[in-house]
Amino acid sequence: MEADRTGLQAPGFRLRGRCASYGLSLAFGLVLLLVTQAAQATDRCAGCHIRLPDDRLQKPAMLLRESPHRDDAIGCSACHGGDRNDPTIRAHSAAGFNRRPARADIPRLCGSCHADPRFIRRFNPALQVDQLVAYEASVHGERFRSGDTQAPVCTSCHGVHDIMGRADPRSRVHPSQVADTCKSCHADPKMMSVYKLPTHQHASWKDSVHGQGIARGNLGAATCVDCHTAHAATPPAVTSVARVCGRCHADQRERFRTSPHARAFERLGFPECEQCHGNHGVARTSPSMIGLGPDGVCGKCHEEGQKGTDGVKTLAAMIQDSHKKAAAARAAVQQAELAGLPLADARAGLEQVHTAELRLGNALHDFDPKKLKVATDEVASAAERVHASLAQANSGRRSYGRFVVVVAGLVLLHLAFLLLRIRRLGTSEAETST
Amino acid sequence: MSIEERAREWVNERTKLDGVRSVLAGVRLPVHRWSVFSVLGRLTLILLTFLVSSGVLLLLYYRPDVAEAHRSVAAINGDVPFGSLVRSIHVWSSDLFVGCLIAHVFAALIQRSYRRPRELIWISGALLFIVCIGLALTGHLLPWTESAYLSARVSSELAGRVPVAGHFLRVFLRGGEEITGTSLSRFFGFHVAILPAALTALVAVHIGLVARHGLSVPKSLEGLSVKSLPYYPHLLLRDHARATVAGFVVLCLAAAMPTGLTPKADPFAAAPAGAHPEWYFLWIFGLIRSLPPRLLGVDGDQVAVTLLLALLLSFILLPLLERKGSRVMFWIGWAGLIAFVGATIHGSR
Repeated sequence: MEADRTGLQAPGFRLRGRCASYGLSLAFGLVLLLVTQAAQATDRCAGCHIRLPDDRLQKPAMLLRESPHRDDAIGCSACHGGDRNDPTIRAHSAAGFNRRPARADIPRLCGSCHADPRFIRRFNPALQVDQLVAYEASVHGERFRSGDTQAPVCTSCHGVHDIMGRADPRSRVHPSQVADTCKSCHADPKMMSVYKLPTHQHASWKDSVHGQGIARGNLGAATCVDCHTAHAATPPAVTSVARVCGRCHADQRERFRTSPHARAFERLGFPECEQCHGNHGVARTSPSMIGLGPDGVCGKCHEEGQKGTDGVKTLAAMIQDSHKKAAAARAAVQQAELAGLPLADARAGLEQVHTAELRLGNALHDFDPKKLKVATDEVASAAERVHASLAQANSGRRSYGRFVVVVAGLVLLHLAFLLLRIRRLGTSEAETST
Repeated sequence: MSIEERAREWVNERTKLDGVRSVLAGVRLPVHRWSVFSVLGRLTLILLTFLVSSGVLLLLYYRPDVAEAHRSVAAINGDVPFGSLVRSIHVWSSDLFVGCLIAHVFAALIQRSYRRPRELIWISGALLFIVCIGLALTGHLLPWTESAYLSARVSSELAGRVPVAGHFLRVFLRGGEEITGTSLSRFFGFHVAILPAALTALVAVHIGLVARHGLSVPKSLEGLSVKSLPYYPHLLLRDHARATVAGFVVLCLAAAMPTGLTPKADPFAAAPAGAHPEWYFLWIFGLIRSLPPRLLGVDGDQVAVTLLLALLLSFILLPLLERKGSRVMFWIGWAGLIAFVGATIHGSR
């Protein structure tokens, strides 16, 4: 055969090319096999348990697949021991294997990782490592140490194989779920009767402004752990309730601390915020809360005719007046919407009214009519700006009238032109037929 | 040569419009004391162009989604420059359009314009009428207001009372068992695509047949000398003037009485007090209210729907049902008009 200059078409080269391609394929397959084998090798327990027909043995492995604990460096053996590299049942015979860790060992077992900053920082440097210490200082921890079998341990709240990160909505300690987790014990009358604790807290919280906020998706609203802390669960003392509320409602707390009520509450031993707002069942505030009426909280301490009632009435009147102005602005915008007026400015104005109302609620905690007047003036001027925007929109609507007048002129001209043309044409081309 | 003549020659050389002009000039329309009623059809077409133009502008801002529909209409009303005016033009045009359409139908019925050889003009017109009513019905739901939701629910519920195919019709119209976002998408699709396509085809057929056969003259003028004028330029100029006046009237109505926006639909809320359908459906409302709950053992609503179906079928096939030479339809036409007005008043109470 004539030699090909390039050599590519030569039979010898074709044979060598085929061998090379077969060899490459084989090598690739081997690499793939090794990689998959290596992947399987790091998850022997779950890899076997998932295939088991017994639901009791399969389910933990299925649940673990979604958990951060599925990480290769943790896996099943972190809690259950055994030989993680043995794919057979002999893994269970290895030293340290524990089919079901005892309840009493759970805190220490979880703490063996979660209280070790050097271990935790490999996975999540931002994760706290004081949970065990906090737990041991908590009421739950004290009960646990005293041998109370009902006292919760880590798995009571976080789950066992289905532990999820706190930010995962499926987690039992996600803000949207944590109240239900606490409820599982604290709303159980039989369980709580041992400790003589009430069981209405969850129901009260659920109807409260905080519970409704969580239900609406506002994850910033307070849940059980925000006031009672998570691991160091303890009811706040009477003197520290305000500090707990003040973590979020800082402005109200600061104003209250400098108001006349602060000294009086201290003298009488009243919890600051709780006295008027309650604790678990904190209701959404309304203007009717201020005053001596049936919904007024002031009547708990102030009686008609006593010192201070004039101040109550003054504050109540100011709040009611602001509320009316804000409501009138909202109603006007709603009417304008139905009438089809342009509303961009008015809606922006309503946002300002809302902000002013929030500031008014804060300013009320000064319990000083002079300071409150600044806030009520702000609401009034925001409401006035809404009305002004609507008036402008109405006048803008009147510009439609000017537009129509201009068009009318053009229409008349055009009609005049058409009528002239029609007259000029006449009916000269009319024909009569049967 | 004047400027006008030069301009016309320039345009004609490039577009050959003279050919179109001569065709239109060849179309002659009768002019007699009843020919004012023949304007109704052309007026309906003029109003349809207002509807389409304003509808296209609204389409730029409307969002056919349950969460966004009402908000987008509120934005058209409140935030888009002249949005409220365009929307009001669309709504007023639709009311006047349906009014003209009904008047056109009754005028054709009373004048018996469907006589041979114009049967297909009537049948295409009847189908057009149904398509237009469908457009009105589907368009009404789009703002997703309380009254729109209720209207769609009631009308699809009525469709569900059709014997045999009722359930299928209801599920087909709603896109499910209930009025949901699927229904809104479906109504939107019907309103902007399917029904306009059907409308275009039927309008082409209807006008094409009218152009071929010419307008009918009343029976009383048959055999007599009737004056006629070429469409171009005489009647075209007159139609142009009518279109200008109609457009101005719609603009004035839209500016003086703009269309508002009632609250957003809440599927779980009770029907608002005093709710009633659009004025052109009040007669159906009146008919149903005048029937007892049960008639001869049959559900009153089902009787009403069956009657309406029979009426619809008779309406479409009217030219084929009439006996030759009979004047019954003349009187039925008048009776129908009086019944329509009466049922509408009854339904509005």
